[in-house]
Amino acid sequence: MNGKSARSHSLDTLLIPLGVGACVLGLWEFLVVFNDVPEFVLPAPSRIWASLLQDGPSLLGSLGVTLKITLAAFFLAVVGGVGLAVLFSQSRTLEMALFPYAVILQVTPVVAIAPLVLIWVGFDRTQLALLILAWIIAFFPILSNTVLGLRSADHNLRDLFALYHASRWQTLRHLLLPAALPHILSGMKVSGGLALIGAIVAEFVAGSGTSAGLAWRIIEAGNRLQIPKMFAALVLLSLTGILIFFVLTVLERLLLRRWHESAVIREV
Amino acid sequence: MSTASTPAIVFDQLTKSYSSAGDAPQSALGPLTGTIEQGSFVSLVGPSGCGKSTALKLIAGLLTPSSGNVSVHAKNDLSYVFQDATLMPWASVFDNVYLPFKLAGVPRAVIEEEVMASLDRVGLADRAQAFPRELSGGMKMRVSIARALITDPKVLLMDEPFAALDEFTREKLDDELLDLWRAQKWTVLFVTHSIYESVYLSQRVMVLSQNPGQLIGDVQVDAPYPRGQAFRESTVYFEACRAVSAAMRGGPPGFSSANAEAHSR
Ligand SMILES: Nc1ncnc2c1ncn2[C@@H]1O[C@H](COP(=O)(O)OP(=O)(O)O)[C@@H](O)[C@H]1O
Ligand SMILES: [Mg+2]
Repeated sequence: MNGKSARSHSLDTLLIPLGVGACVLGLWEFLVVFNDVPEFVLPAPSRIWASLLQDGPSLLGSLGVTLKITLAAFFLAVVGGVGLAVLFSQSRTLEMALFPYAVILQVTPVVAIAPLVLIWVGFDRTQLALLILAWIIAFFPILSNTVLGLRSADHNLRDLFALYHASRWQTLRHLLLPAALPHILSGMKVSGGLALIGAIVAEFVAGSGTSAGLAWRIIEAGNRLQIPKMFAALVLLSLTGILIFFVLTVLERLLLRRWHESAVIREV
Repeated sequence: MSTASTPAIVFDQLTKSYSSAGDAPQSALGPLTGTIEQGSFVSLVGPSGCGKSTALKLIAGLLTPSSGNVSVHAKNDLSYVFQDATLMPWASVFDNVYLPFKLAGVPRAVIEEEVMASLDRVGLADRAQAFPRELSGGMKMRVSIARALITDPKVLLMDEPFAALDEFTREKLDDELLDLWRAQKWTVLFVTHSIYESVYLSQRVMVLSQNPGQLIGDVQVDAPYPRGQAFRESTVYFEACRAVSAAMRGGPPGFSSANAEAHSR
């Protein structure tokens, strides 16, 4: 194919899923109206949209609370994951000693430890508990990807650095970390979504009337059978997840643009 | 050569064995004894896996000998060129060449002219801001050479530098390398598995046996530089190629490694 189709190809990747979405929504609307499905079972898209307009402002406030926890957990996951991986790269013993515990933390269902975390930090500090739980979920992909990435540096380049008497710090800064960057970024893409999921799940288990996040609003709406509002909250949640993924993808493209194969946009 | 009497690299009963987990140590090189003169261009040929890379890494101090030793006259003025260009893909051509000085703590501004001069020598001054993946294989190799030369080395170790390139590019780079060498006269130890390339380039070809690599041939190539197409068609070239090839196949009757060592002294 030629240059013209390269552009229309990228347009297609946007238009085709949108078209599918529009069809599904149309069918959904039609089936609900045609079959007279009650609102508390399945609201029509138009009804969800109306609810989104009506409850939007207050839902956005709750989204803000959830987003704050998500971003804080994500930030701490990046710092903690990369930091720990760097420590591991400097000391094999430390890695052997600690890595199994990171795995244990990862495989333990967050739902199961939520009550415990809540007790430890105190019931009056729900936000902190949510942050810790979201962090636990978001942390591992960054750690394992960075560990892998730091090991991926070319052996001849390592030899070259040794030959030029590079210090440990120089080797880390100018060789190991740049080589790990693509791995760190793909870990971040996974972790960004997980941080959001973590913040929501944690609020479901550990949240209470004092927490004002989106999960709590979903529970609340469910209890009151305000199903359109529930859907409206879900829509906001999905959009947030997509936005996080999109931002991280753009960041990845920008950082790797000139040197990494994964970021090269090839004309098909 | 004017400095031909001073040794640059001396091997003394040098051996290296690798031990992989569980197995008994496998001998990969040696014992190797011999001398490489300062300012000379020497090739090291042998079949794949015979220990050529191991030998270079021992000389560079990247590996420690299992027994014996190797001494290098100018240990700190030594540069290494690997088979693949071994550039940092995340850094520009300029930054790749600047690396040795960056690691030595020399500020960019101080050394900028020298970096550009080094790039100019390999014909890539206009690509300083390009990234490695935007360059052809031959260009990457030139960057790698520019990086090796910028520290003004006394000894240049090259491990099959042009093996991954097409023949046309390889012959071009061979000539460029010889031009640079004739101007600077570093000691070059050039590893290759191509008999033709080794003879074309060097004053002397050392032949290693199948592993563990031992010296089984040592061929002098007595032809002046610059060498060109005419040299490739000369009797000296043919004879040298034949001698190297014979050594690799086990040598003519009566030829032993002891002979080769005696000859190299
Ligand atoms: N790090 C290593 N660990 C174990 N064995 C090795 C290692 N490096 C090289 N070898 C072995 O040593 C021998 C010589 O290797 P090498 O010096 O790379 O050969 P060449 O460069 O001539 O192809 C080979 O048999 C190879 O398998
Ligand atoms: Mg090799």
